[in-house]
Parts: sequence; structure tokens; C-alpha cells
Amino acid sequence: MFKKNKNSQPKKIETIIGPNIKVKGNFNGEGNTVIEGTLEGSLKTSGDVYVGDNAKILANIKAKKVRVGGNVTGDVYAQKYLEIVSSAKISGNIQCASLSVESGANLNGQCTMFSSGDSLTKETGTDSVSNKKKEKRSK
Amino acid sequence: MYTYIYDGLADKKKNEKTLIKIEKKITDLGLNGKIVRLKGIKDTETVIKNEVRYQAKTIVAVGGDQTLNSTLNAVLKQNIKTPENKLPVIAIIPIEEKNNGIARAFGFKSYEEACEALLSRRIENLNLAQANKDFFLGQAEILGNYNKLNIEKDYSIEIKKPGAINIVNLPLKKSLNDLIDFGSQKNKKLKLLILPRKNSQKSISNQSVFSLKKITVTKESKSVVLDNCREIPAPATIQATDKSLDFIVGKNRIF
Repeated sequence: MFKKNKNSQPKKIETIIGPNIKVKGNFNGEGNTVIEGTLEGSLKTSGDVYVGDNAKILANIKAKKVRVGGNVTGDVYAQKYLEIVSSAKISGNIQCASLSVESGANLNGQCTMFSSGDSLTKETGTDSVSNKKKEKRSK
Repeated sequence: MYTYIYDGLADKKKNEKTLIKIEKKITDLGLNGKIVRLKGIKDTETVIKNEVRYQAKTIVAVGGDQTLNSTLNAVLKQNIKTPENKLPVIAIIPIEEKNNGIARAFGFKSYEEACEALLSRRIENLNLAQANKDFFLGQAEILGNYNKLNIEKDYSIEIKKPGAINIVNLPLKKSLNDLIDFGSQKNKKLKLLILPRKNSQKSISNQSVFSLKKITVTKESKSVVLDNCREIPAPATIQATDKSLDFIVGKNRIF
């Protein structure tokens, strides 16, 4: 869904987090999601995720296809395809079946590739980033 | 049998000629029926119930969004049934262009198209949403400036710039229906739409859209307006329901 050009968004969208919106909590969806604003917590959907160039995300993302253009602090799990464009800044681990990284993108974390048929034994969880931080502190 | 509901809109002098044309068209099509006039009556739902109970297979709201909203509320709240003990089919004939968003969404640009649709009887089963005890088909607009909305204990939405907030059950604009996935009627969810007030750029990405089954509007809001006509005071619980009605729609409907 992202291949035509880097600004292309999913055709039919279930959720849009606009530029003036901040979402806090565990966000579970079924369709395509576009994020242009701020998200804190976790995001899980069976559809695709489009992270806009000015979006700020402090959350783990789990989706079918993911396009990242903004700032993501958290792990990204793309069941099929992960596209990281030049404006992206990811601080977290990524897992995907297929990967595209544009020149200029910033990625700080481990990258794990798997074939689309495989199921990972250690999948990226969708526990919120803030919850993980709390767990670390308690240890 | 057809029952035609006329409200205040039908009794306006400026609509007199249109109403005569509608009645002539209905007669020409052989769709005559009983006329129920609601002008000046406050408890419209009880009147509709008493007038159409066990008689009407099809109830036609002649007027605008308000006429249709009163009709569907009467049918559901008063449990109006047909002689076959089924819920009647609902139709609309728009009298004027203003305040007729639902008729346009049904594909009726004029009263002629709506009258002809009565004859062709293309029926669509549509889910209804509820705000407190009142039902609505299109959308609920939350009036007032909201900074934060809580969605079913899962997550909260902070709104940095105040915007227009609508809870949409049935999209009334084609552009919205083309872009947003409203899901199937079986697994019905409502859409929360937050649109910046100064929407200079009409890009879809300026809007915010969320799916939900239920939302509680607190006292921070002034009130909630259902289907652009029925105003109910806050606080209000707005939710998707499993209640549905059959509506007569046009071939150019947007959904």
C-alpha cells in the first residue's frame, strides 16, 4: 500500500490520529491506521500502519505493513513489510518479513528478519513502552 | 399501506406548492395512503404510534431530517409493528434542500426521485445508534469545547486545538464514505470524527477518526445534537446498537 510514493496513505482508513491529537493508552484496531499526531502506549492492528513524517510515537507497534516517517520510540513488528523513509527516527527493535530503508533514516536498535510464513517465537510484544520502563525500574 | 408523516416543515407556506406536487406525484404512482400531521404537537412519537399502529407497512417521512428522526424514534420506542408483526419500512420524501442530509445520502436530490424510489422499493437494512434514550441514523454532534475524551477505558484522546466533534453512525457525505472504512453493518461501530474548526486544508490527514462502540459525553459539553435536529442535554452515553430498520433508498445512495 505504500509503494506508489512515500506520501501515499492507505486507501480505506479505519483510524486517523490527526496532527492536533495525542492518544494515550492501548490502541487495538482491525483496519488501516494513519498517525500524524502523538501516540503513547501501544498500537496493535491487523491492518496497515502509516506513521506520518511529523508523528511522535512512544509505543510498540504491531501490524501487517508499517510505513515509518516520524519519530518512533518503541519496537516495531511488521508481519509483512516495513518501510522506513528518510525522515524516520526509530529508537527500538524492528522485526519484519520484508524491509526497505531509505537513505537518511535513523535506526537505533536490533533488526530481525523472518520469512512471512514463519511465526517468531519471541514476537515484539504490544505492552506499552511506559509499562516496560516501569518493569525495568522494579527489577 | 402507506402512512405519510407531515411535520411543521410541510405546513410552511413556502412549501405549499411542493407539497401539492408531491401529493400529485404520489397519486399518479398509485401510492396513496393516510396522512398524519404533526404540526404543533410536542409528543410526536405517541401521535405517530396511535395513528399508524398495526396499519402501516411503510411509513414515509415527508419533510427533512427532523421528520425522519421523529419517525424512526416513534417506531423503535413505541414498538410500532405492521399487521404481520414486523417493524415497518421507513422512507423519506425531502421537501426542501436545507436540513435534508439523510435524504441526500439516500440518493434523493429531489422529491421526485424519492417518490419514484417508493415505487421501486429498493430496501436497505441500516443500524441505528443511540444517545441516552434517543435513536439516530446519521450522526451526533457534540457541542462545546472538549480537551479530553475517554474511550471505553482503553485509551484517552487529548485534543490540542478545539475542533468539531461528531459521532457518525451513517456517513452523510460521499467523500467521507470513500476514505473512511465504516465497516460492515453486522459488526457495527461508530466513528468519532474530530475536525479542526479552521479547516483550511481539506486533507483527510487533518481530521482524526476513531472507531468505538460507546462513548460517554460528560457535562463539559453543552449538549448533543442528533441528526442535525434533535438536541439532548449532556451528559449523554452514545453507543452503537443492534437495532436496525429497513429504509427505502435510491440507486445513487452514498453508502
